[in-house]
Parts: sequence; structure tokens; C-alpha cells
Amino acid sequence: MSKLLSANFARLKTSKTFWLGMAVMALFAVSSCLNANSSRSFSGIDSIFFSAYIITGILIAIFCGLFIGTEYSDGAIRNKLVVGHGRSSVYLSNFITCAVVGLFMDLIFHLVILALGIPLVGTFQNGWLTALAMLLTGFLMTLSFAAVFSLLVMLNQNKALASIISIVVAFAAIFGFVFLYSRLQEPEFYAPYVLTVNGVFQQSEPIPNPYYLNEVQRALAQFAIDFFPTGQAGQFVDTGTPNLGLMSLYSVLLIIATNAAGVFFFRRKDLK
Amino acid sequence: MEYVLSTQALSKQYRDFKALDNISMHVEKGAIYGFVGKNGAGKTTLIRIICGLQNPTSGEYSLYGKRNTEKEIALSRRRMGAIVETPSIYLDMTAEENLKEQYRVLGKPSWNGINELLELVGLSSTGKKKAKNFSLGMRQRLGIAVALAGDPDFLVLDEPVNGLDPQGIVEIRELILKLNREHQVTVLISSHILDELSRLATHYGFIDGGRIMKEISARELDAACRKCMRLEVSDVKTLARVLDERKMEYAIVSDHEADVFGQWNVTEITLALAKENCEVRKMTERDESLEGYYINLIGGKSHE
Repeated sequence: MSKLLSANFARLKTSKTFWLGMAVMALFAVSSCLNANSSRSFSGIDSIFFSAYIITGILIAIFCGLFIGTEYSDGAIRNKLVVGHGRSSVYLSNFITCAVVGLFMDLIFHLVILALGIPLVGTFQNGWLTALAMLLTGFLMTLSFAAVFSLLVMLNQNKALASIISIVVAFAAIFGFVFLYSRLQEPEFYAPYVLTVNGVFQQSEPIPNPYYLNEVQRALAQFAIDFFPTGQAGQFVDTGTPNLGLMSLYSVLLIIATNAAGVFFFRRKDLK
Repeated sequence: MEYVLSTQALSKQYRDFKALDNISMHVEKGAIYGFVGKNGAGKTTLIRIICGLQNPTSGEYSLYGKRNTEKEIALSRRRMGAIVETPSIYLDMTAEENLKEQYRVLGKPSWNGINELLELVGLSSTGKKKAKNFSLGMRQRLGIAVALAGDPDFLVLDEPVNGLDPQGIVEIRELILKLNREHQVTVLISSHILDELSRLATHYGFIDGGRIMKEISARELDAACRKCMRLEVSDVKTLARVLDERKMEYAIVSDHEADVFGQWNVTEITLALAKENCEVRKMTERDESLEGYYINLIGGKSHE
């Protein structure tokens, strides 16, 4: 597999998609720092440091579609199989390449935030150890993004279709997270009305919120946003200190499950 | 006989369609094996299977004696190079970059041989021109160069001259002959351009409807397609005796027919047969080409 990785990384050096993605992450980091500095409501870089994972997910979706899709559209994947490389090696080398690209994008974002954000808005308010734990959870989340999109693209030989599916899935996951998260934030009851009639206060009964999720629904919604990488990324932005241990466990499970399924189906796939 | 490739009862089923039906074929070491069949006959399916791109539904194949079910088949594949349908090249890379990429895939430690490969396929002067700006012929030649990057002993070419101009066809033909004669590369080449194939092949395999109809060497095919006169007579034994007396070459086709080869005097033979009370009913000149042989073999069904 080292030969395949060497070939992939050599291609990566000249990949416009990769360098464009890196530039987007760097610019987003600069813009986050300047925005935090100008609003003066930030007292530390905690919230902006972990704000880019949703963007990483979208960029990985685009990168996987174009980088792996080119192997199919140009037929170069055949050159690997014809000379005796195993299908598992081909699949996993492509996943590893996408995963490394995701980590590079995370790193460039974090490095720019550290370099520019600390002088402008200060250091981590929750402490460096918490930041480190969140960073490692974020990296695992990035790997799970790469695993999901590698699976989608490796099992689809049409480059354009694979790219579109990946991007649609990435955005659908974001909308799914926003929907579930907002439903979880719904209050159980609306506040009672308070009326003043001739100087006398009258209060109505609290009104039950029809959008409030019951216990089972809440558990399922919470599981969905904890399990899927987009949900995890959203929680990093919104809640600050999510359940890192559980999220890491879910990411590891997702990485193993998607790669096992991907290798299983790719080994049986008829290629053209 | 040493075979580079042999298949045993190989079948491939796509849902309701049987693309390959119990195919058994044999490619000898050092041969240029012409794989002949019309569109949809199963040529590309078989090539995809032996290149590891698809799995057979049943049956098996061996490459350099290693069966497809053995792990060691990967070692045999390292001795292979292939172009399946279209050349497998990165369009946003130059010819040299494509070869370097394939060198990395192969794990070659240096770039030695890249210039020679580019020279061999006539692409040494393409410089920084990207493959997407190449002509079809140039892409095809680059595809062959990529396939040759691992110094293969066995080259598989699926329709390599499709869409090429006459000059391109000649160049590819000369390249294949050079590889076979000077580098002892065994070649499996599929095509439905029979005239072109007849200039190259040392062996043929004819496929139709997913079945191998016949495997034959070029020498046997030449003999079968030799120019001759087919005589239909009342008594083929008398004809044989008359021809034997004159030490002439012939082949009995049926109880009343025989093919007579070489230059001979028609009047003399006819008179000799008349003396023996053998009637000559019909005399036709036969000059069968590869195309005619193929059409006869598959029963003259129309092409798609």
C-alpha cells in the first residue's frame, strides 16, 4: 500500500482542489480572527478555534469527489489493479489520502488561528488540556468525514454523480443537524400569558409546545447529532464543550464500519 | 506448451445477460493473440476479468500458471500491462508525469527508462503538453507506454486502433510488432478490424455470443484460407487418384468435393478425370480471407 500512497501523495502535490481547500481554510481562519477581534465579544479563542469542522466536511466531500473521481474518469484506477495491487489496498490508500487531506485542512486552520487569534483575542479560556481533548476529537471527526465520503465516491464510478452526491449529502447532513438541534432546544411549554385587566394580573396555564420531542425522540435525535460527524461539528460550534468521549467513540465506530463496508463492496464491484 | 494465459470454463453473468459462456482459451508465450469478435461478443468482458477489474461468475483463469483464486496471482499481474477500452492516463498530467505516477504505483526506485519509453512510443518531444491536449493516437501511445512501465512480459490491448487515423494505426502496429519481436512481449489484442489484425497475429481466438468458436494459429488459418480451386466431382476417390499420380496438393472436403492447391492445368486434369469416367460438375476458385473465415465461422450473422 505504501506504493499507492506514494503515488497518491505525489498527485496531491499538484492537486488544485487540495491547494484551493487549504487556501479556503486559511482565509476562513483569518476572517474568524478579524471578526472576533472587531466584535470584542470574545474573550479567548475557544469558540473560533473549533468553528471550522463543518467547512472541513464540505471541503472533504468536494475533494473526495474530484480526487478519487478522477481515478475513475481517467481510468487510472485500472493501472493499479492490473499490476497486482489488491482492492483493499486501493480502497484504503484512497481513504488515507482523503483523511490526510482533511487533517491538513484542520491543521492549517488551527495554525492560522493560533498565530493570529491569540494575539488578537487571547488564549484558551477552558484551558489547554480541554482544547487538546477537543482537538483530538475534532481530528477523529475529520477522519470519519473522510471515511464516509470515500465510501460514497469509491462505490460510484461516475465522477460527476459521485461529486454531486457527496456535496448533497454534506449539505443535507448540515440541514439535518440544524433541524434536530433546533428541535432539541424547543421548550416543553410556552410561557403563560400574563394579562392585566382593570389593574388585576391574570395568568394563563403554560401551553404545551407541540414541537417538543418526547423522551425517545430526544434520545434518538441526540444520538444522531452525536454519532454523525456533521452533528459533532455543529456541537463544537454551538455548545462549546460537547461529550468528547462519546463523540470520539462514535467516530472510531463510524470509521471502522464505513471502511469495512467500503472494502467489502469494492472487492465485489465490477469495474469498467 | 507454455501458456501465459489460459481460461477454463470461464463465465460471466450480468443479471439476465450471459456475457461469457464457458470460455476456454489459451495464449501461448511469445504469441500475438488476435481476439476476434463483433461488438458485444464478450471480448472486453474477458479482458476486464483477466485484468482483475471484474470477477468471473464461474470458471477460472491462470496467468503464468497462477490461478485467479490464488493469492500469487498478484505476482503474475506484475508481469502484465494493459489498456482496457480507453488509455488509462491522467489527462491533467504530461506524458512524463503520467509515467512517473505509474512508476510510483509500481514502486520503481528511479526514473530510469522513462525517456526510453517515451522514445519508444514516439512521445519524447511532447514536453509540458498535458495529455488532455494530445490527439487520440498520442493518448493511445501514452497508454501503451504506461502499460509498458512495469516491463511486462504480457501486454493486453483492447481495441488499440479504434478511432485512430491510418498513420496512427500503422504506428501502433509497428510498435506492437517491435515489442513482440525485439522484447519478446506476448500480446493479447482484441479487435474487430480483421484486416489490421491479420497483419499482426500469430494466433487467433474467435468469440461470438460469449463463446469461443475456434482457436487457431495463423499458420493453420493461412492453410485454411489458401487460394485453391474447389472441384465438385461425381467420384472423389477417382479425383484423389488422379491428383496423387501428379503429386498435387489437395484436401478432401466431402464425398464429392475437394480443394486443389497450387498452379495446375485445368484441361489436363479434366481430361484425365473424363478418361476415368469421373464427371466434373462444378469448379470454383476459393480465396478466403480472415474476414471470410470469421463470417463462415459465426454463420454469417449480420454485424451490429
